Amino acid sequence: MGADDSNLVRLAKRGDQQAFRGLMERYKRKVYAIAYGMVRDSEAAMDISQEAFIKVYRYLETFQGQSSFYTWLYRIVVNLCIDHMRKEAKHDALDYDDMLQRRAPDDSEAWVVPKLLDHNPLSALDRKELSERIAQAFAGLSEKHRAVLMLREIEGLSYEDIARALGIHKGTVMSRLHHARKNLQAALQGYLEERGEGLPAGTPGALHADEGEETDAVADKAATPSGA
Amino acid sequence: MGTERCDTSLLLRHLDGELSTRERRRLEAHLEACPDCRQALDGLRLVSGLLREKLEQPAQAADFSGFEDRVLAAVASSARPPLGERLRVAWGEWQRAWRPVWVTAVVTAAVALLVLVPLLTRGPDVPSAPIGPPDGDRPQTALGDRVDNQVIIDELEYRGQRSMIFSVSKNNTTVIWMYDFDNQAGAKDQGDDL
Repeated sequence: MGADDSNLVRLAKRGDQQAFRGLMERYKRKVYAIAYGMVRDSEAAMDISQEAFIKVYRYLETFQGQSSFYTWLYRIVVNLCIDHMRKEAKHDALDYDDMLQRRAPDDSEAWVVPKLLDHNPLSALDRKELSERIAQAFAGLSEKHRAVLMLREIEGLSYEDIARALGIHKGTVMSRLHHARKNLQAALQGYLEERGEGLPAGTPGALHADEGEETDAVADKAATPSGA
Repeated sequence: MGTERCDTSLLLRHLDGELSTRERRRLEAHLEACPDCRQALDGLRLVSGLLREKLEQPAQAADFSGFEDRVLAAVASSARPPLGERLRVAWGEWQRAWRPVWVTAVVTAAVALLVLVPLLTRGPDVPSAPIGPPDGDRPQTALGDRVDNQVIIDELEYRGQRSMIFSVSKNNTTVIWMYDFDNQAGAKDQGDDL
């Protein structure tokens, strides 16, 4: 945790509301971004953001300070989002894990990273179109994969911090990131192919990833304090 | 470096800044020689950048006016969580925070028990004749005394070095020494013969 976080947390633990306001001002947009990315609903995302800080305030005394404040905060947010989605049954997204289990084994061995052609940069219109497709692909990910990707892309958390925030192993973080990005790259691949620029799978030079997937059996859901 | 195969996993970890210095240097060398990987990395960066933009937009557009006041009002108007609940959460947090420490401690204690218990319980079965390195090579106690009546009770190899574990009885006390023959000048042959 940054020095400023430490100081604010220490003061907030003593009941200093200004310090707590400082923490909220610092993290509310990031918290909201995570919540929105998970639940895809602005009102619910705002409610979850507020609820997250209410929980932080109530349970701040239990925060051990061994990890960063933000990993603790993000764990609370992700848990609230998961609770919300399960309660509201709004998450009709394809569960990527289930899909992996149903898939033929030889279908999961490799994936192709599309290559961009240097001489043909994307126009603003192309970027918008591609951006929409990526957003759709993101929305189609399971909650677990979205959570990992959010923490990585928005918060820039390290694998280690993501693992702490979600209560899962670092290997699971890497595995989920790998598969989430595979789906997003498929969106890019589809787009490039429509433009006649795609590099079909199996083309010499196409990059195949080693799946090296680790069993994702650990901690389907990050644990408390949210449990709280 | 041109002989190294293309590896998307490595590109992803590079994108996330998770490569070690050595890995990063090797990948950078590979990228210089491999246009496929350079283009693939561009693709990964493009998707990552577009996704980040997309994910950050809602938060930039959201109205946060009065956010802090609403949270503080909710906190003030609601009861504190019950003691049992706070203790439960605190216990969970404590376990999570100190997990690396207590897991390591438990594993260390288990290994120590597995090693020491058999050693200590084998005491009566050891040969009574003193066997050990020549007098000149015998270890000394912290007080500088020569130790006598050494009885070898086990031999082990660690990182390619053979060591002897033997007990020393003196003044009605028993001491267990770890004596590394391979590191003792002149004692190597003696150790090999044992």
